[in-house]
Amino acid sequence: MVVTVVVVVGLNFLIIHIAPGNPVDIMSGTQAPSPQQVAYLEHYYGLDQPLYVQFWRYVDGLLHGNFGMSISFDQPVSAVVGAHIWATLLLTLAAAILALIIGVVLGTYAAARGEGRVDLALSIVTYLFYAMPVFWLGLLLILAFSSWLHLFPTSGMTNLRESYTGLAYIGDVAYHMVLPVATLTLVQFPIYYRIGKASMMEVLHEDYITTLTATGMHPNRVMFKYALKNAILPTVTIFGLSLGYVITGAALVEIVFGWPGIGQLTLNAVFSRDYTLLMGIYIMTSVSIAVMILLTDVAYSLLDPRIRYS
Amino acid sequence: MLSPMSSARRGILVASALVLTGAVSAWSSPATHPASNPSAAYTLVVSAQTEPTNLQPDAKVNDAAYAIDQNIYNKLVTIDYHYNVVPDTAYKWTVSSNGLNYTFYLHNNIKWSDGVPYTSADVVWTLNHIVKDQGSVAANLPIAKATALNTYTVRVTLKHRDAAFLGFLSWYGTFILPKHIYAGTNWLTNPNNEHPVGTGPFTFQSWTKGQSITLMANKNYFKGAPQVGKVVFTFVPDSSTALQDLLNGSTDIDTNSVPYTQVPGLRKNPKLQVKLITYPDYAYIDPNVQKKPMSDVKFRTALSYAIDRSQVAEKATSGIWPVAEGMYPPVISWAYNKNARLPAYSPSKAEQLLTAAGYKPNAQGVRASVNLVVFNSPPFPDIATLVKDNLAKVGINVNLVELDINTWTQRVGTDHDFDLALLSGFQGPDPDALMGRIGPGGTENNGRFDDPRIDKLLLKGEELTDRAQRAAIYKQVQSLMIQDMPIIPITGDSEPTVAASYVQNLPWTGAEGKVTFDDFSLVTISPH
Repeated sequence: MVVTVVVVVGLNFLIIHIAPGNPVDIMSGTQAPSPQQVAYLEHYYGLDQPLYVQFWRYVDGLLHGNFGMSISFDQPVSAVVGAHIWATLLLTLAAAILALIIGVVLGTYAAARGEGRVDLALSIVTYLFYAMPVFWLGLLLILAFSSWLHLFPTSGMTNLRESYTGLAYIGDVAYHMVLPVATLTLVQFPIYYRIGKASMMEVLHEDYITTLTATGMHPNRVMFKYALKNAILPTVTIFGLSLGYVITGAALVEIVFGWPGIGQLTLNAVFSRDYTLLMGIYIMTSVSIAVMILLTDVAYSLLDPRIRYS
Repeated sequence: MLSPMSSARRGILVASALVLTGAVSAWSSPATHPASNPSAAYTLVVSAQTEPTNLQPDAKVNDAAYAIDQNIYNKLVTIDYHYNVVPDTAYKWTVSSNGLNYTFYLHNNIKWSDGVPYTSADVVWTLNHIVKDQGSVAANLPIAKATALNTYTVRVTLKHRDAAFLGFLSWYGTFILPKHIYAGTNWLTNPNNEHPVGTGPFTFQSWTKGQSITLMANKNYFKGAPQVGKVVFTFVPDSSTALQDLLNGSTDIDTNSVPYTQVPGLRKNPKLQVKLITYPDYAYIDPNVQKKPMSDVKFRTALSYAIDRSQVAEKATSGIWPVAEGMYPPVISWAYNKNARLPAYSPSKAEQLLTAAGYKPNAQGVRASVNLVVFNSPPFPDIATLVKDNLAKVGINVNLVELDINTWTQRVGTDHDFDLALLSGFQGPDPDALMGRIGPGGTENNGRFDDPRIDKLLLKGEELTDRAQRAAIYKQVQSLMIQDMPIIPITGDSEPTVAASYVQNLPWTGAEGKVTFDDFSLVTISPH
């Protein structure tokens, strides 16, 4: 994993710097600045050094636990990221878990029912949601549930005219979470539904299931005590992989709902070529993917006694 | 002993209760159904598209912070929506006859929000620092030095005469900063950039990152306390969502760019007030005169006949952007030459000119092939498509190259690798801005156009201080531009800003000429 991280850091650094445009030109806006201004800022941010010097300085900082200063914020990258990341995690973890539960429950139900109208109806609905562009769905939900029915707030994480604290604050955030979490969940659960259903159907045709049913065991017991544990393995893999993207994957939802997360921060950082901030975010994403893959493998081995790591 | 299932059920019940509590308390707040609150108790909520990275107004270009900075800081002089320079912390100023020495007389009753008095020391520190540390407008302020003559008088000496100096001083990146907080520190990383102390009509209260910045009324504001008690800036990146926020009552003013196609419908809504704010910008074609055939003035003139500007304004901007008639935005009316008019749309005349200049159509009917480099922010790609279509009709084959703004800037501004470029840009606050676009070495002169007659006039315009004399010069420049066609303007720039009807005395309607662009100090809320 260390080798992966090192390679990732190097590659990311190279790719970001190869992109056309540099942050000083961009931060000066389209009203182009004087050459003195450009020289001053490039020197201040260390951008006038050759690339390998910049890289070495960056790695040196990393080894001391310092992610550097964001070029656009002029604040430590860790502070900038820290201020935004919890909002994203709140959103994406809630949606990921809900999507998993809903998808697996529906998939299991459809598999147990077998071919029929229920299965067809569910398949159509899940395909629809899977194909829907997430920002379009988000805006649709706003129009329906906020503008038309006045049931939920339009955007943001909290009520701006009141400043709630304590329990009321938690309730306020939860209230604001409903539409964005619903949007993310609706576009994610179809995957779990398809895989859950397919996996369950495969398991239900196994010989040992037939045997258990023949012994007269209650179908629910067969399902939940024996079948589900085996059927859920592919879903666990998918869930683990999707968690790796939990940091940057919600950018479009965050933009539509004005959710103060890191997805939008990343987009702005790309547009302004904020090298240090981008590196910080990419490293975090890479590390989180690597960690999630590891945890998925561990979870898999716990669930499946046939697999043991030495 | 509780079994696992019922404890999960209880958890769900608790969560639902929390959601409902939040729902009920949010529902019953005045926000969703604003009652008749007097202004003092009202929270004005303003939505903007981008959250500022910090609130430092002068060190670097900081567009996202500009609206907020106008409410928490002041300048020496400021600028109103008619682009006139008006007093701010300086109530009076004089200029020496040689045009090099400006003397500013400051109010003596201004205090920083931490109680320290505002004096000439702050002005001197700020101006000298902008020059020394290459602040965002350092290139536009040719200041040799700034000195304090006494506690409330500042003398600014210029390196050379510059009639545009006051205009740039009043506009952007010139907010006066507190010396007692910034002196001796790095103004890029000073914590005052996160929670500023200022002199403005509102004082900074809090910043919830990613969400909102809250300001409170400054009861000691030297021009009189504002009416509204609290202003909250919120950041909504998507313009459709921002509009819904306004319609649903969560915000009172929407400064995001409203989708143009929605404007006619919004104007009919009695709960809203829509204002088309015209800026001194032009959307124009910038020909690369270093390359053929753009180097040929007859070719450029033919382009100006071939582009149907009305059609572009109608189709690309839903008629929101005004059609360009001349070479400079009419919003800066004292310098606009209404007689220097662009030719009326006439494809036949364009073809005549092209044939006479030697651009005859080949077997496929093509007279010339050029590329048109445009950045991908709407509505510019649409404008480019319409221009391509117009030019095809007169036998000019256009290859559209659409790039993101940074790549575009590299290609057009740095590498000068283009035939035609489509861009827009602020041509204010003073017509001296033309220097940057068509003057020698101008930073926006992407085509590197140069006409010595125009250069001489532009330089003269910088030196003179009498406005009538300067107006005559710039009007002459515009006449010469019609002859030379260094740029081909297509439309001006108007942006629809929407607010709730109960918000009165906005800087762009009601308080025009009294406050600067986004200064909400005079806003009042009528009962609703």
